[in-house]
Amino acid sequence: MKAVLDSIYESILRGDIGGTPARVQEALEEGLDANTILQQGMVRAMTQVGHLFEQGEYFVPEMLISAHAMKRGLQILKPHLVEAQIASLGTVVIGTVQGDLHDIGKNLVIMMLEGAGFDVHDLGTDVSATEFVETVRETSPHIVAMSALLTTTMPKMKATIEALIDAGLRERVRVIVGGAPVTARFAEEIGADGFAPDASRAAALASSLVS
Amino acid sequence: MSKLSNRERVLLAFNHKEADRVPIDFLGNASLLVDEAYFHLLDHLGWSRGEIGKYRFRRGSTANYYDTRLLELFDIDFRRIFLPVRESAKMKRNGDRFVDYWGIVWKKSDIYINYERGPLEGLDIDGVAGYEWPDPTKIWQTEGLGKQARDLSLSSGCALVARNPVTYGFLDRACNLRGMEQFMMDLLLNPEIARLIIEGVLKVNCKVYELFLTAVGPYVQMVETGDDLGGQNNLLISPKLYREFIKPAEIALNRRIKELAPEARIFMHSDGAIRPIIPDLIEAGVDILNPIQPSAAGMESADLKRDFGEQLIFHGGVDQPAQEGSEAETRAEVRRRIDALAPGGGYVLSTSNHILGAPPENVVAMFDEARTYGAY
Repeated sequence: MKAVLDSIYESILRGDIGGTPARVQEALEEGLDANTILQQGMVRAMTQVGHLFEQGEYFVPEMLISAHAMKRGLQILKPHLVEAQIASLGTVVIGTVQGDLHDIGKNLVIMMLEGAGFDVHDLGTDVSATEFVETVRETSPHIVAMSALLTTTMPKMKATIEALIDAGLRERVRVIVGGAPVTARFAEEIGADGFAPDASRAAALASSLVS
Repeated sequence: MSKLSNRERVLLAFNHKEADRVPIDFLGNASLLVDEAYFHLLDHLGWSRGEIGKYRFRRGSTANYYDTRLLELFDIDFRRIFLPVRESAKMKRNGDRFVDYWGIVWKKSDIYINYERGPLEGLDIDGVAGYEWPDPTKIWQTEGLGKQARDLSLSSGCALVARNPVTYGFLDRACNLRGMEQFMMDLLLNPEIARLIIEGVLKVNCKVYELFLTAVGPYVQMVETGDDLGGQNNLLISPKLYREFIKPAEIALNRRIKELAPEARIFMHSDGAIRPIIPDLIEAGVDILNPIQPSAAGMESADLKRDFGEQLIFHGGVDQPAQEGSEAETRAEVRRRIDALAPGGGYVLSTSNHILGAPPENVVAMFDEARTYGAY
């Protein structure tokens, strides 16, 4: 493994937001191809960040700064990925459901998804079932991801799935759900295709659904 | 033995002694009924909705009612004193948005009210230092409050509680003022900004509790505080960051509370998986821990009782999923909590969060089971 890939890995793990883009730039200047940098530098780092979070060694602040470092690095890398015609893993339409304005969990999931190689279409917070349905109709994503922090807004996940069924779109997408009060049992009850308890496992789940 | 008053029952439990039954609390910090659930319960009981305006203690939240008739019906052992906000300081409405006295913007969507953004978002350290913190004396008023507390204490015979006057704790409030993502990152990247914000919140909160407890301190047996430090699987921030930024503020606030209400126990609400910092909370002066949410990682009731039962009084515990299942599941959940937490006193039964989707029959059954099965 090239030393510069390790330094990208390290700078993301440490959450070095300023340093990561410079490391990525160095790797490009050394002539490494964009996909190698993505996979062996960044995705590897975010996978490790996810492990550390699952194991309780990283918490929300550590994960956030790592994700921001990754994001800044990705900005440098993106044009090169496009140029090299690296296909994305798939497209994810994501949003926090109607009535709920919490977005930190959703934003972490987005960064983990991008780090894993997905294109992400972020609808933001307080997203109605209609808005999810319209976006699925227009963009034909592989996955719809819904987030809720409040037990009071969880029922909107079910309402969104029902709206996808009514619109005849349910069979065309996989639906995943997450957020503090959401459980695997709830996901199953409302007819979702998957549930993840945290952002790193959400990215792993999404990858498994498109592979 | 003559029949115990509600307050005597509570005090025995607080002193880690078994009374005639486990004391029960309801309609406190994080144990209210969400408005819809409240209306359903009224309908179920055959009570009119006509006069419920007088039980609304606030607006703009998902749970706004403190209906004392329910407390009597279920023989709840606690009554609450609220610190009233002056009319002039109430939330200002602008379309579907509300702005509170911190300058925090809340947005109404459907029946829900959610945080939208805070006044410290995007500011540098000078901007944060220049923020004008709210002046509690202009926001809250205490006129007649002492007499009200004394009268309620005498007339109810119940344990009196100083209701959490600020709702949000240090981490919560800092996240609301600064934006959660940014504040979480400040803790690592801009510690001076994080410290400035926590210090500001501490000054305001100390002043609020000073106003409140100067009036009611001698009459209350419990003072509510709260913060949200836990997620479902772990703490939101590391124990190290908690100890560096949050704990010193908790120590300072709790010390002030004890000075003003020396006879009262300090109640602390934090959702989620907070087990790694329970010893810190005890050191910081917390006497009563709520809601000991059994579904969160590491919060198994029997383990908490074994490890911290001598130092802490537990409050809450009856978990949400069971309340929303069958009546039998609700009763079984009440029995589980009593079995694990009640032996030797030191337990106040209540819900692990606001009552949300529980059918009204289950709410009635929960308190019925608590009164009968909770007998020592």
